[in-house]
Parts: sequence; structure tokens; C-alpha cells
Amino acid sequence: MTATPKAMPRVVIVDDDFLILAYLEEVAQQLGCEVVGTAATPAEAVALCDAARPDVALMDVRLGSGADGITAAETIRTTLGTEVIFITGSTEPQTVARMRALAPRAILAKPILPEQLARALRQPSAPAAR
Amino acid sequence: MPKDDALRDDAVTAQPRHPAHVTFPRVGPRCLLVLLTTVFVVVTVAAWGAFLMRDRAQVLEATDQQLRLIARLVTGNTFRTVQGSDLVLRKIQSDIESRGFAAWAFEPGAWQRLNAAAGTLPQAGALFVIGADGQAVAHSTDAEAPRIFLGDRDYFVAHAKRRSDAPYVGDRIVSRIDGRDIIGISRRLNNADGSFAGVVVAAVNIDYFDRFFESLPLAPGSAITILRGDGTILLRQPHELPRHKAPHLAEGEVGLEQAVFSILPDPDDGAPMAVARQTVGSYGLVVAASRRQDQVFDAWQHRLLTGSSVVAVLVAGLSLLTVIGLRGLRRQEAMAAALRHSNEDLERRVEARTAALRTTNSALEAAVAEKSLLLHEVHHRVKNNLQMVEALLALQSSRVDEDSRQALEAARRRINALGFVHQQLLGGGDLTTLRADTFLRDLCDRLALSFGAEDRGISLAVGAEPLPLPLDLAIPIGLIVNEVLSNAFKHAFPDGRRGTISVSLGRQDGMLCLRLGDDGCGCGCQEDAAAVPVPTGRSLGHRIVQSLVKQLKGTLLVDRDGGTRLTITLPQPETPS
Repeated sequence: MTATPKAMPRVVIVDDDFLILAYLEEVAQQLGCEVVGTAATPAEAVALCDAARPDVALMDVRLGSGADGITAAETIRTTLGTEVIFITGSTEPQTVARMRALAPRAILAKPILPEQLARALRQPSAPAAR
Repeated sequence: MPKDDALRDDAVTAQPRHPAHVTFPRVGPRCLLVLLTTVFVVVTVAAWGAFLMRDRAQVLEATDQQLRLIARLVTGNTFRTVQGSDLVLRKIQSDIESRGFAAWAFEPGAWQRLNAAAGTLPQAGALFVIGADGQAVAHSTDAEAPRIFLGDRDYFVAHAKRRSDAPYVGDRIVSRIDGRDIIGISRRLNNADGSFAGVVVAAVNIDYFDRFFESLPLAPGSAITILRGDGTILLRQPHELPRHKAPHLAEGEVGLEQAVFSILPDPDDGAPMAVARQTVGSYGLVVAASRRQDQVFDAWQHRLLTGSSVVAVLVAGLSLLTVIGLRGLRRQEAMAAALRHSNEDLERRVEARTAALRTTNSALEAAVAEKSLLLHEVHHRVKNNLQMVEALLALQSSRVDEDSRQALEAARRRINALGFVHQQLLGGGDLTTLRADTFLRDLCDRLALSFGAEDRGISLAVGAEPLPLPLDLAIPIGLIVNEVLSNAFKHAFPDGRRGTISVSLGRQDGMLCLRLGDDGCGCGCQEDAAAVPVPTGRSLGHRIVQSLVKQLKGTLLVDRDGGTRLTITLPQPETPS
């Protein structure tokens, strides 16, 4: 849990489960990241990212009914160039394929370890897939 | 479909009842058989009939030739007989007429001249002369002329009545001189003035004709008849003379140069007979060679009967064979129809069964898919809940003192390991088993990452067989590995000590063998022995490991020589296929 303050990115966390949201927020903060906002729906996520312009969006996939996190991530990634780390319980092959198509920084399957998230956040930023 | 079948059934059963229906739409084997048999029978009967007609014609032709030959022979013989006799008679006539009847008659030696003349006629029994009064005046066989009256004889009456220069062939009579059967050939004697002077007669013995006739090759039923032009029968061989006249035999077309063949009634009984007739020169005689038609065709009729019976037997046999063949064909057709019906029935049943199976299959597939979906969802929920529990513990741990934080952190790791098992189950195919090798490697990698093994210079050696691990086994094994490795990372490598942690899982002697070891400091290097799960048995980690091994009915061996090595032996799970 050693944070490296110098290069830690500004993040947005998207999850419809507020307990998880709180947990991830705390983990990210302990890692030295600035959490610029959290969202529970795809629409909120897109709006938040558009407003706050984070470096990385931590994105859940299942976000209730309607559009999912991958759709939101696609919008964020293509319109804003924001990088995405998927933190998901959905590991079905077709879902994984959809996520991979967006060239995310990482795909982390729940349950995640704080160290997994740390490793993904410390990675050098990839070029935006515009 | 049942309606179509019903129609077809009708058609099939209707066929034998109305064979005509079969003939026209298509020529079946049965029609062909009947046709062939009919053609064969018709041809055979026709050929046999043609043969019979031709045979009959040939028989008639042969009879014609035979009868005409006989007629010619008899005609020739008769002609020569009459001609020869007439020559002698003419000589005697001229002798008598040149001398005058009275002078000749009373001249001594007249009979001798007659006798000499008779010698030249072998067929004539006697020559004699009759006066105008009907009394015989000279006889070739006797110097004394017999005192008999012959004026009533038909030839005498004929000559006396009419002057003619032609010889007269008289009726067949019995000689009043010697009692023999004779035919008289006679000439009229004239006086110088042309008046009737008497008759000179040559008596030809019937025997002569009989002998000649007997020399002829006569077939059974044959007869030879010599008639006068008026139909009077002079001679008939065989000697059956119920009537003396048979005018129909002398009438009609009678051959001159050669015999003419025709079919006429028999003079005896009127039965039809084949007859060849010819006239004997200009003597007013007719020769008829005949054969009764029933006799002519006797052999032919025999052939007709025997041959026809053979043909009849042949036709009957063939008909029998045809009937047998027809029955066989009908049976075959019935069997074929039955087979077709049974096949169709079978096909229908197979189709129905297949459809039922398909329905069941799709229902089962749907049920399986539904079950799979539900199971998937359950695992997902379990995993989410575990993540939430983990989140709760993590949130709690950052708000307590260091000892409590470490305890909560350990609990969080246990929950995380449990969640990881469910995550792996969801990632795999069948939601009930895991592959031991990838499961253990991923689990160990997570623990290594979690404890910063890379930074600390602690390496990991994981070797596991690709065994299927059921959920019931994967959870305890995951928890055991989590416990032992967490302990090793925490305590075996203090103060920047480097080393290796090794994990292996494999089958051994029918048991599952899990080995967990490190080359760290063991128990001696740290004062806080209570933190080490083995062997003191007081820590929570140690209790968890012991409980799980007990639950799995396994054994636990600990070796603390140069590190810590645990060997856990478990009964193998019943391998699901």
C-alpha cells in the first residue's frame, strides 16, 4: 500500500454499488490518487468525465438496466480520450472481447485486490485510442 | 396423410377385383403373364389347326392320286378286255354275215371255229351264237349246241330291238350253260337284207375281273365299280350288290382321258366316299374307284385325336402353371404392399419418435440453459456479495488500530480468496469444476502480487497437474493455500530475506497430494511464534487449515527442517466426466 504521490492519476470511479464505490474510492485515495468524482450510471459517468476530465475512469460493466459501462467507456474513450480500467464481475468471453476492443489500461475481475488496482494505476498511460 | 393412405388402400385392394383396370394404366407382371399365356395358347391351337387342315388336304390329295391311279388301271384293263373281245366278235360276225347265218349255223365245224376264236380270248369263258329265235345255235365249248333259250337276255333284247354296229356290254348274269358269273359282250348279226339274224356273244368270266382287282393295291374301305352309262352296276369289288343301279355314279363329270376325283355318296349306304371316275373308251362304261371317306380320314382322325389331346394337355398344363404363377405374383404383390405399408408405418413412427425426442431434447436443452443461467447468476451474486463483505471489512480496517487492522485485513484476504474461487468458476465453462493447474497458479500469483513478492525478491514455484477440481474441493484448497502462503509471506522472509515458495498439487497412490513449502526461516527466526500457524496450533490460520483438512478427511504433515513444508493428503474426488 505504498503510494507514489508524484505520478498518480486523477480518477473517476463508476459503480452502481455504493459500498463498492466507497471501498474503491478509499483504495484509490490510499494509493495517492485524486478521486475527482463518482458515478452510478453510464449517463452520469459520461457527464462526470466530460466535466472533470480525469486521467483514468474506473468502470464497472453492469450498471443496472439500459446501457452498460462498456458503452459509457466507449463514449468517454472516443470523445474525451480518457483511459479506462474495467473493474467487473462480468467475465463472459463476449463481454471481455467488447472491453478489449476499447484498448483499456486493464481489465480487473472482481473480487480485486488493492494491489491489482495499484499496479494498473501505476502503469504508464497508453495512447488514446481515437 | 391418412386420407391419402385410405385412397391408396382402396386402389390396392380394388386391383384383383377388376383386372381390366390394371391392363390399361400399366402392364403389370400378372397382365404380362396372362398375355403371354394367351398368345402362346392361341398360337399353339392355331398352328395345330393349320397343321390338321393341311394334313387333311394332303390325305385327300394322296387318296385322289391313289384312286385315280386305280381307276386308270381298271379302265385300261376293261378297255382292252372289251376291245379284244369285240375284235374277235367282229371277225366272227363278218364270217357269219359273209356266209349267211343259216349256212354258217348248220355248217359242221362251226363250234370249232368258235372254239379257236375263243382260244385267243383268255378272259372270255366262252363264245356262242344265238339265232333270231333266241335259241343258241353254236357254242365254243361244245360241238353240240346246248338246247337253251337266251332270247330273254338283255343284250339279245337290245340287239333285236335296234340295229347298231357297236358292241353291247350286257348285265352281269349267271350263265345258263355252265352256271358261272359272266358279263356278255355281244354283237348283232344281220342278214343280207339287214334284218336281225342273231347275236354273237363273248361271255367274260367275272373271275377274270376279280383276279385283276385283287392284284390292285386297294386300301381298306376301297371299292371298284364298273357301271354302264345308265347307272347299271356291272361289277363291284368287293362283291356287295344291294342295288343294281347307281345312276349318280355315272352322272356328272366323269373323266375321259383320266379319272376325275369327287366326293359322292356310297351306293351301299349313302355314306360319303371319295371316288375317281373314268369312262372306258366309247363303250358306254364307267369305272369308279372309291374309298369311304371315314376310312380315308381314319388315320387322320386318329392323329387329330391324339395330337389334340397332347395340345389340350399342354394348354391345360400351361394354364395351371399360369394360375400358379398368377397366385405367386399376387402373393408377392400383397407382400410388397404389406412391406411398403409396414415401412411407411415404421417411417411414420420413427418420424414421430424423432420429433418427440427433438422436442424433449430442446426442452432439456432449455432447462439446462436455464439452470446454467441461474447457476451463473448465483455465482455472480455470491461473488458480488463477497466483494461487498470484503469492501465492508476493508472500509472497517482503515478506521481501527494496527492490530485490529491486521486481523481485518486477514479476514478480507480470506473473503477475497473465496470470491476468487467463484470468479474462476464463472470464467470456466461448466460452473461446477475448475482446472487445478490454472486455478492454483492464478491464486498464487494474486497472493504474490498482494504481498509484493516481486519487490521482496521472493519467487514462486507452482506445479500442478491439470486435474478437475470440483467446487467442494476448490474452496477449501483455495482457503488452505491462501492461509499457508499468507503466513509464509508474512513471517518466513523477515527483514528483506529472499527465498522461494513452492506449491504443487498432484495424484499420489490414489490420493490427492498438496505440498506447500518455503525455504524461509521456519519457526526459529521469529520471536512471535504464536503468529506462526504451525505447529503451535494456536493461531486462527492454523485452526482454519486443520479444520479444512479434517473436513476433507485428509492428513497433514509438517516438516520444519530448513523452512516449512506442509504435505496435505486428501482423498481424490469422484472425477466428474
